[in-house]
Amino acid sequence: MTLEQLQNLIALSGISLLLSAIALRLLAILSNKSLMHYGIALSLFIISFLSINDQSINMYLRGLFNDLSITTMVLLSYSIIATKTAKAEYLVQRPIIFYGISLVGIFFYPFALGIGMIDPYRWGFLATDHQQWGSILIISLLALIMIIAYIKRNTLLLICLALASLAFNMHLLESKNFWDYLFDPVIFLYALTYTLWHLNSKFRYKQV
Amino acid sequence: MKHTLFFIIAIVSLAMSASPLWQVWQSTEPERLFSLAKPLPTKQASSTPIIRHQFASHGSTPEVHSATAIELDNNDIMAFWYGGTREGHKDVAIYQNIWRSNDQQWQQEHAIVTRAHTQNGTSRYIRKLGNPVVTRASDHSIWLFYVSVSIGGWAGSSINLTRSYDEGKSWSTPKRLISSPFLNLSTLIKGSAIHYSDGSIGLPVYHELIGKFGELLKIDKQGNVIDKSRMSWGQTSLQPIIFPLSTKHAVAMMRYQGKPPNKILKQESNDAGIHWSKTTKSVLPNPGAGIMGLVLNDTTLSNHSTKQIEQILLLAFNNDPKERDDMTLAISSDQAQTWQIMQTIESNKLIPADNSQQFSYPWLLQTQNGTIHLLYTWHKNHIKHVVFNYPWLLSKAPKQTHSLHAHPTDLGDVK
Repeated sequence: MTLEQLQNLIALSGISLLLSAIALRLLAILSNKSLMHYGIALSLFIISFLSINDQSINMYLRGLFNDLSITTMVLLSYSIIATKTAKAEYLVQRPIIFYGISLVGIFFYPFALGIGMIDPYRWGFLATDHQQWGSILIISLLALIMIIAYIKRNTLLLICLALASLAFNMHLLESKNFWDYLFDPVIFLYALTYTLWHLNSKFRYKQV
Repeated sequence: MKHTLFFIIAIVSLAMSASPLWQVWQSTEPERLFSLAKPLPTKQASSTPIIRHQFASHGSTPEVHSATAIELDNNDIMAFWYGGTREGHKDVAIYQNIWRSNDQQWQQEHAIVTRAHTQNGTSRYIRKLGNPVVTRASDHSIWLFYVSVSIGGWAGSSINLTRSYDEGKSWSTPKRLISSPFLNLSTLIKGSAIHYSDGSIGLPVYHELIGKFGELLKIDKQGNVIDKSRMSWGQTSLQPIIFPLSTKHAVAMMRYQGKPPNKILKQESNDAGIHWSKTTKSVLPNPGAGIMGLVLNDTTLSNHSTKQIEQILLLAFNNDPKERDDMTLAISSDQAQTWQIMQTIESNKLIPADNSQQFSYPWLLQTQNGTIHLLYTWHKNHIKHVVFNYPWLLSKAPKQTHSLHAHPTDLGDVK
């Protein structure tokens, strides 16, 4: 298998994982028959790879979403497992990841999409960034998050960052930009929605 | 036990997360320098004016647009453009054709890249294909970049790359370039690629989602985007073209789509494209249409007193603030400070203006024998090919001289 084929397989699996996780969540709302839910989610994962007229569901969605980041794939995998096994821990561990992604994304996307001449996306080209301080900023940010994750005993966050870093070094996604391994618009929008909802709930609870 | 497990995970994670540091540490990229083309041999250049018009396309598709071309090893010209029922139609493909240098005739064009071909190669749904740009890589292979759209209009474009190692006879499986963090949307191409001394390629691109601005991608020998620099920002600048003038210095010009006066934009870089000056309006008019430039690489242009090769910049553009109804050639011998209008290739001033009658999206190429090839979209249904040489370019007295410093109000950052 060539590196490009491996990159395609990982990216398409990420999209199929997204479909399965969404299906599992929707089914969990409807009923408690979890084993059957996993069967349906697994079937959906496989079906999304089936090609009809040289086009599969995950290829179609990849055209729309591009590649999901390693962080998103780890969180989706965890969400699938946590649906059955570790729900309480999952709920406890999520906020800090989503707060972080929301915070970074709010600043990152407007500038990366063209507000002003500063382009933070450029800093993610770690191997070739001519302004080394951009790369150093990202590495410092990563180190800070790692320290927070360690203090907060957040295993999930540690694994997300570790696997994203390793995948970047191995060039497992098509991108050579570290940001694309850390987060993507799909997880950013989810994290932002979650953060706003979570903060709103907290605020209401305090008021009561 | 739980504490120990967490500690082990933390240590392993820390070690893995430190791996990008290795890439930063290893990033011993030498000083970034442009690779300039070697001057052409003097003996091959003709002093007799040459001009020849013909069509590169033969009507295989109702609509054609956005030609790009390269010289082959045997001195033939290989051109590419996109064609189909109409722009954005799902049957649009990238067509290829060859101009034989021995009989100076174009062959019959044929599709080399289709939507289905791109879908299979990139493992993604593709809705339509668009602008191609061809260049030769440092290993002498031919690289054909082209845009595709999966969702929405042209603002949703991404770049694909296919390569040929046998002078265009066969093409590799297309590869997707990742150049934007937001669903990899909105990176388009039009200007010709430039080259760096380390063998990487600089591809001028532009962004159309929310804002319209120019960027320069740096692409490694494997075809990965490894850096990019923002050339402008705001809502009005797109389709940059770059004239490398020395290993560090370059001038860029861009199509302008803002409030009148409609002029071509200009800017400079003194660090091989890492940073760019603010865009300023030149006095060259343009209706917000595609432009193309070339640094003429001909020893016949050498200054007899200094024995230095004069850098002559050639620009093909629509010399009108509103309509694309002409195709004009201008030259500059002072690094794009001033321009002289030399020739009008097409002039079809219609009153009232008829938008179906238009000449657009020029592409310029200078071959090893010194002749210059201009390709452009002719009324959107043909690709026109004009072959000429420098003596022909000078064969008429200059009609106008445009000075970039003529109007102080034109200066300033354009947003």
